[in-house]
Amino acid sequence: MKKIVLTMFVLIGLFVIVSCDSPNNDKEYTSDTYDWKTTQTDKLKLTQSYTNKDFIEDGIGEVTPIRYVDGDTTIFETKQGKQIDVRYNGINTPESTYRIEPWGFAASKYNKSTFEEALEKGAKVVLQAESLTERLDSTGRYLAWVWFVYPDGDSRLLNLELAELGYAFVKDASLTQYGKFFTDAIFDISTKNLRIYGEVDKDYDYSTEAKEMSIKEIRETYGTEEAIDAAREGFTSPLIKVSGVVARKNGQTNAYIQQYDDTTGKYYGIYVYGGYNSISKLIEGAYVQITAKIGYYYGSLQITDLTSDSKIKVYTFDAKDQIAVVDETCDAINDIRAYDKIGNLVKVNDLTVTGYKNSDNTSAMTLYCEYYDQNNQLQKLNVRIDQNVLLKDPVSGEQILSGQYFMGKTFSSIIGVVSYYNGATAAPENAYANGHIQLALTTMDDVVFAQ
Amino acid sequence: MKKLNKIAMFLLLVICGVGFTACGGGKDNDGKIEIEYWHANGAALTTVLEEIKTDFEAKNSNYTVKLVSYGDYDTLRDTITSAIAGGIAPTAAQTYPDHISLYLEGEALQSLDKYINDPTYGMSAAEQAQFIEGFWAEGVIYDQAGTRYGMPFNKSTELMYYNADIFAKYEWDVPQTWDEVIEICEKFKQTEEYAQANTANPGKVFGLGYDSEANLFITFTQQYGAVYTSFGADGKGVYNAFGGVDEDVLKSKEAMTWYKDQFVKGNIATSTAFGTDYCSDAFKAGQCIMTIGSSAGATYNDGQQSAGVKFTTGVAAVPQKDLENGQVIQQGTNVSLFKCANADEELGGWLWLKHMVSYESALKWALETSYFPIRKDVLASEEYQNHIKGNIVADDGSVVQGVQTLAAKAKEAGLAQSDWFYTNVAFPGSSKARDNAETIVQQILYGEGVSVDAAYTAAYNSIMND
Repeated sequence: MKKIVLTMFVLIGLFVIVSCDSPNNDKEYTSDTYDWKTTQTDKLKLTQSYTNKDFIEDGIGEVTPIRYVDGDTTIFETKQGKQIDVRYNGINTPESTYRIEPWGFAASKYNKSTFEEALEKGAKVVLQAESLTERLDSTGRYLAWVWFVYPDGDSRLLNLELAELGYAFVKDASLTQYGKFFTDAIFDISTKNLRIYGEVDKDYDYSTEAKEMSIKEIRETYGTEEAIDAAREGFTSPLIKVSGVVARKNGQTNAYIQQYDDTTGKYYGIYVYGGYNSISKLIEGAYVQITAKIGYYYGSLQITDLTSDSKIKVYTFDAKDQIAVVDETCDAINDIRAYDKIGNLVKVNDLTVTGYKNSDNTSAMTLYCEYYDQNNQLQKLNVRIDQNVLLKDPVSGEQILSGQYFMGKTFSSIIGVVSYYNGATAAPENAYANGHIQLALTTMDDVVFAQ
Repeated sequence: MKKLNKIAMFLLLVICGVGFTACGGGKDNDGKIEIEYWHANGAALTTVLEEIKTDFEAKNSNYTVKLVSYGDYDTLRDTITSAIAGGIAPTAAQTYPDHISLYLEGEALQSLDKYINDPTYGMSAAEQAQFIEGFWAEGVIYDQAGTRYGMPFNKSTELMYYNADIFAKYEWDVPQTWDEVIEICEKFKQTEEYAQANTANPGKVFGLGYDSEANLFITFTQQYGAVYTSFGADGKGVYNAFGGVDEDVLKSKEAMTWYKDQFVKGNIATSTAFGTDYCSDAFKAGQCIMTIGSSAGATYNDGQQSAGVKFTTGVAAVPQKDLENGQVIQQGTNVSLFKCANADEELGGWLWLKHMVSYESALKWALETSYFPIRKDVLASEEYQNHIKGNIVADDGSVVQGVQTLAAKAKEAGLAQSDWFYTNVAFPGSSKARDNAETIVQQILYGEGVSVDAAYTAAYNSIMND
């Protein structure tokens, strides 16, 4: 009987929603003219106690936000002092980091501003797990319901609010405790094609005609300090065609390409990110033309949105002789203002590994290195080994699994790509510390150790 | 909550469905007829769809297509169900068989036979014969008359991914049967790799992990010779393996008992054992050396992406109980047309669907996504064969051969087992069977003190009382 009553209740609830919906001809709405409401978010309240509980141990607990990554991911610190990457459960916002999608920046901005407003009003942030068994997503991040609990006891679920305002798709919510709220939250806005459901994002470049650009032009347009700074707040990712020789591979689907510029007599390079897509044409020594978009990854300019091999045209596989390694000094590349060197394949000498950090979640390593500058002053420069790179000991053939392998060794020479990364410590005041310039090592063939 | 939601949706359809057949498209601002196509593809796939749409609009100047993504199949289904009741269904949509059955309850779907057989706008018999039989057949499983309500679009299957380096190191043959899988699992437990993984993740290391618990139930039920679901003599759906037909229940229970026994021995598990929806992270971390997952998700099982020891991922057919009677799920979605009050819009919707499954579009989809080709002419094409074999031809005529990506390997291995593809019938409420299949596996493997019999009884009661 109880079930029938409940069923009818939901039935009526749904019927009201459907009945209130305007007929099919309401095509004139835009996000500017629509009367936005958060009816479902207003209704839903946190009922589970979180006092003296820890999110990791107990599945619910208070946390402090450390960094807002994008629309649906934030790094928090638990009461136990553990930093965790948290992916908001039940939703998926368009991307705004490694690739740019319509409404991605809008979602990211809304996420951040909502936190700022809530914290200003004295709200506590409480993470709630759906269950303690399946609580990680496919990339190892914690899935959580993100609640704001206000001093007056009121509470709001950020996940639901992002969905209800058309900034987030509903994703894997239907089996969860709050599934019904999500379904109801998006019905009206989705059928009116608002925001992510088909509305044009004025800040997104929809052009299908790719603009042909040299790597030099890309660097000078999008790789300056001003451009990188501006991109933090929003970026219209353009579709471009760019050509170059594949100078180094970085895993199966990523590579560094390089192009010679006649006017300056210099080489320019840029990272191409293929990610989890099925890419086979980025073969070292091939001269290619890539049709993709420009993006940033933690401040590092890159070619992104390379969705398949069909976006890569191979002119020839026989262009190895066009791969240039430029002799540089550590000092010359260890300069955040040397934008024309970022992306270049360079050889430097006499760099000693004095420390290292292995990534907690991936096989990436950072080698903390030192060298003496021309004034005989000790300087620091990091060597980065990306998670996609497989390094093997040249003698044993064993995979190098830890930076410990390099400890105390000196590279009498090392070839790598000058790269930029303002990841974990990307607070504005630290954005251009020298630690953000790194040398990316992709193969042990590029290393000569001092005896 | 999910079940309650579905019940409400279902009843709503029954009450309101008939007569509400207006579609979501119509005239746009340019006087063109707008076709609304709702789907659940993510951004990368939507980019490919956009290109297919651009091509369609160039060839059909009277129409525009509005692509609306919901990013999630359940959300797509629930929203369409409500939209049907509200008279604002889309012109066409991406559909699973269960979804089609649900929409048919609201009498909202148009039979594609109406257009396929049209002398002007239809498809010739030769054209229809181009579709791979197993995929094409899924469009006619909704009634005993074989009315067509779907055409195949993005199709995949399950495969077994394995750590090829460990297999090579110990000179193990890749298992083809479940008995052989268990032999490998027992050998694995004697290795240093197992010991190291078990030290890092005590009690969470198995030989094999199965991603989808629902697929596990259905496939094992099929492999043990039982019928999962069927149509009864009255045309209504029967939940054979859950309790509808004694013989099928017994065989299905035998299958699940076997899986549970091997789970208890620490040989095989499912994604729940690793605390995730998929086994890919556990596979890459060495917590299992074999995993069964979607062919469309091959890149997520790439051992080169491991955070620890990187390895080569091998791809093989799903192990069988009986190699002479192989059973492997075919999965993925179809495309369907809704009844529209505006005949021009409905015709446009058909033309859009016909364009989506045309040679050009299907080739693009097969080359640029991880899904199978749905057509034989695409499969046989030089472009697809080069793609699948990893042969790349440069503009200067030079060729590099054999750069086969893991995704290409998966497509090749997936289609190689197409003779084993099975299809289950779909009927109103058949999605309940799938939900309960997952619940049974979870209860049997992870429920405290839940017997196989008790799990089946609870599931059948749940289905019948819903």
